[in-house]
Amino acid sequence: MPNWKQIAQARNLPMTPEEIDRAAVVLDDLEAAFAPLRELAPFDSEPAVSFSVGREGGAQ
Amino acid sequence: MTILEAAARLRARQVSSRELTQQCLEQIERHNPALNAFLVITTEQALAAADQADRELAAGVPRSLLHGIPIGLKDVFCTKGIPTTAGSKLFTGHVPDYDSAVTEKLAEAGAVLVGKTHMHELAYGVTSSNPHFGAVRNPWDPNCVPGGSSGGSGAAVASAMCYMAMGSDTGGSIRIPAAFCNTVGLKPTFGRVSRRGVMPLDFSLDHMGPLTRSVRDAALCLDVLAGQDPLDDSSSAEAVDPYLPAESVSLKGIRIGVPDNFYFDGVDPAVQASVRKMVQLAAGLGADVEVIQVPDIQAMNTTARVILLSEAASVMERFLDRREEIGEEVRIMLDQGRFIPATDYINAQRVRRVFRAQFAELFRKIDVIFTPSTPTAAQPIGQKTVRIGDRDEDFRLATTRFLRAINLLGYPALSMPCGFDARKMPLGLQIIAPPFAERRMLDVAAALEDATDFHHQVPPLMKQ
Repeated sequence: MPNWKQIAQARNLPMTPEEIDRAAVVLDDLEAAFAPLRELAPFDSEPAVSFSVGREGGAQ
Repeated sequence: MTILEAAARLRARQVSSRELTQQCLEQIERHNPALNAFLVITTEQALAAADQADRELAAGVPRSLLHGIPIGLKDVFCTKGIPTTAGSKLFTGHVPDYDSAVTEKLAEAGAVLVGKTHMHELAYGVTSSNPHFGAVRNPWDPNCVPGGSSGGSGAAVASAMCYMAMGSDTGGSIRIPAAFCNTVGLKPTFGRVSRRGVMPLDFSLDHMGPLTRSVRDAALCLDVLAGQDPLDDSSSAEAVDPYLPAESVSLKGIRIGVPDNFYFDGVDPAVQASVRKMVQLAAGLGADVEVIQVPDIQAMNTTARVILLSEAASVMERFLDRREEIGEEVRIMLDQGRFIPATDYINAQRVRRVFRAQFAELFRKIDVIFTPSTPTAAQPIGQKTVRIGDRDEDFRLATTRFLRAINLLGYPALSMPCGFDARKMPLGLQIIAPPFAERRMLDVAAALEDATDFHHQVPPLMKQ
């Protein structure tokens, strides 16, 4: 599992050690559950959020 | 009385909009101190709007079936000149100078806004027990939660404080209060109702929809709300159907899928029995019931949570140094989102397409899916876990277990009353349909509603 305390420190997150411990319980579970799903999508698949450029050049 | 009934009486001049509005304002005065369903009550504006509606109706120019009908808006919908706080201390004093697209559409339809409904802080939770502005209470048992995050909307509609209240649904927040308060809650297809001017929680999971006292009321609201909004990037150009079901609806030939995996595991026996009875009822009305296997819903919930935590943290990150102004429960979830790597968020959005393809395949052989809305009825305020069978489960995760994945898909779904548990607390049936098949979903729900009387039951406090 990632070292959540080190990540919090590196990112300078304003969390107390107790808050990091509480977050870590959920993050550990989520990490374990999501790990096998990461490679479910085909290698060349796009994310399900869209970005397109209109004729005027602005993002749509 | 439903909106359809009230609209008929308004047109027949048997009642005025002012009278309907005054009745709702009296209900608010009577029950809001105990239920805490409204954060803001707009008495003067409401009566002025009602008088205008009466003048227009008298002139024979009804704008819609909502013309002259008192409604509420969850406090995430921006309202020009009226405070909009998303139930958060961070937005105390925030008075928008513009209306949300939904606010605009409802005003154009002639609906009468009686106030802004209370909610879970920042729409980020399922109880509506707000640490800053108090808990919303369930009209069926004020010691219990009404569900959330649109809890004020559910409580207000169930206690006749208004005929319809808008909600937002990121992982069940319309369908949970609908199930817990014995109302109908409709989450349309993603992009069907504009999100412009709604205080966001999650860009790719937020859906807007009505809570009402009947299926047809939800349908006629969608008639007003649906349509493309060129100012909302996620708004769909898909053609809008007429949504209101006919007076009599046949289920002959409708193919109803009933999962034999996941959705009936770990549920209260009363929930199981009530939903099974609705399946039998549908079969008796002519529907073809097919047992189906649904894709891995738990994996979909996990994927949705990665997206939920990431997007919510990105929306709210700028406020996270004002930690004392954010309740602990929400602050912890916002903090969690800041730990998720960008690669996980993007991979979750890629995996999302895989699940959508699996569901598209599933819907080739069925028209709708029936499931419980929630594994249990509403639980007491303050209770963080719920006991189901011999297991204690986190209340938030349990309550969203059958709902969150549908936000990942963006498919339409509704919750409708289907019975009561041993404590006489309401239970909900969830009906899921493929994208933009709201009309079919509402037809099925209307047929079931016509054959039952759960939606006619009112909370004990209404009988006092």
